Amino acid sequence: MESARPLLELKSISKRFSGVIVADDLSFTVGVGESLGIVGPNGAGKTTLFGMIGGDIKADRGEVRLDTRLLNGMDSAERARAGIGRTYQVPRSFEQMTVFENVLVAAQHGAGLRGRSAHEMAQGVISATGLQRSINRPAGRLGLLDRKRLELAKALATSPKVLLLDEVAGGLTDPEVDELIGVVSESRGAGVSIIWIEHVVRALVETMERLICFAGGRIVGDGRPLDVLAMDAVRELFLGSEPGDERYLHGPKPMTGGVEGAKAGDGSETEHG
Amino acid sequence: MLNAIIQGILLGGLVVLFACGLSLLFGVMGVINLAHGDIAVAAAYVAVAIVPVLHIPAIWIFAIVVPLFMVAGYIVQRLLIQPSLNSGPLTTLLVTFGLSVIIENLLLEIFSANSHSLAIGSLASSAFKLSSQISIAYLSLLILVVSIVVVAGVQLGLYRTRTGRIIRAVADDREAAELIGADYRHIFGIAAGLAFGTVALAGLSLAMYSQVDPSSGPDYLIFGFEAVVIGGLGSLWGTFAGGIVLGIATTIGLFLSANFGALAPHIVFLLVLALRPQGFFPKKVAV
Repeated sequence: MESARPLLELKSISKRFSGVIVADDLSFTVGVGESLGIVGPNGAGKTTLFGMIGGDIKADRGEVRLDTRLLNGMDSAERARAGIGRTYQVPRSFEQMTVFENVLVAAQHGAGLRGRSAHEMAQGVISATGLQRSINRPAGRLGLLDRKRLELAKALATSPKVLLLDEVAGGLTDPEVDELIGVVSESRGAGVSIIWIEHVVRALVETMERLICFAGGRIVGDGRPLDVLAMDAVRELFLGSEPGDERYLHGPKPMTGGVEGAKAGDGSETEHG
Repeated sequence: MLNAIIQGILLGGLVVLFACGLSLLFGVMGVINLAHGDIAVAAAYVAVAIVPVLHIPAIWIFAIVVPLFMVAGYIVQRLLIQPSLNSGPLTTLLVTFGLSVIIENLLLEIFSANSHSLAIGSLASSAFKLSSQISIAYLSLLILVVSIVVVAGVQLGLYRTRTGRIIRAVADDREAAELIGADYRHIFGIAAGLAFGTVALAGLSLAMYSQVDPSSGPDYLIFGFEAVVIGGLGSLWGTFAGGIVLGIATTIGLFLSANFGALAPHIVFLLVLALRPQGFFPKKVAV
């Protein structure tokens, strides 16, 4: 599934928090322009994994490389400039600043653009993420969907090589998820690699070309999304899914008994593992 | 009485210059810089020391001392204040208090306890008359104009420039700012540089306006702090209003009784704190 040239490489990453293993000799690569979805139960260490790629969490062991460049020892600001774009589960915008200013500072400091090119980048990303009509509103006054859009817009404005999306679809309605999927697919078209952690499995199956199932600090399944979801080991994690049962593909609501369904239903904002 | 108010507004300009940097540092970093007044006094003493050496008119000293203090501000932030930031607000208070004590004693050691002022020739005493009762000193007017320009300039810069926007972003959420590639420590350094630059301006103005001595820093700190609180934390124009209010309170106090001048601004401050603790123009988030 990987394209010829690896862009992001994780090599033998290990991490434990007071005895709990969240990454156990973990290795995988993401190719240029590749899109990878990550699923796994709560506390599997998905967000921690993003933290170790993004630079705010230090791995105990192992290497993270972007375009062969070693990222270990770089803080999150340096990694952002190096090409790691990241969104948070709980959107973190600059509340007192307008949408335009939020995206502009990202273009200026993340992508290193100046003057007119920064303005053009900001304007382009705002149009692409559907924020045009809120462009001059303070970020603190946006609704949830627009906050998620802005979170995505800020990450895109840093002109990332890899985009790390952490639960951007969480808390959104089905039509809103569709809109978001559209935006993400467009940025993929622009050649950006994407890693997307999501409880709304449907979003991943529809947009990602590869899926990793992650549990207990290890990769349980890795391959085409439908193939991975059909693996026994993966199905075991999603209790209640009988072989051939594909209910979880259709969003959280019908899957009340499944781990994945319960998570998506009871508030995806609570997970920090 | 009208004269007292006009003189108060003029005096307020100086208070505003003192308070501006204090407001900025608090707004951006949440740091209350207890050495703020001493830094102003230090700037005045640096000027006093180099004017006779360089043989230049005192007014040119601004071009040297203000940039010097901006650089010093950046360095002090990165080396002293930054390491203390992560250990909580108490640590920054202790660090800046320590800095205050060090500056005061260094000045005492080098310049003795004598007070000094910057000689600027005829500008110091020349004035024009608005009426038979009201005369306005050119220097006071100049300081007021400078304070307006500084506040307006900083405010405009924060909203219209690349650096200003990222300062606001960092003030809002420093970790989110890191995610978009901004090194918040560098930005804090720039903010501290701005703050030190404006307070150096205040110190130089003060030395031209009256006299400074090594131990006068904390008095100016109090004035600046009161202006910030009266105006509402984190709002520069609020700080401006606070400075003017304190200036007017001082001169009206003096008008009523010679002894009341020093006390009146503090009483006004206490009244504001009791009746409107959030200040005149409070802001939810800094700057």
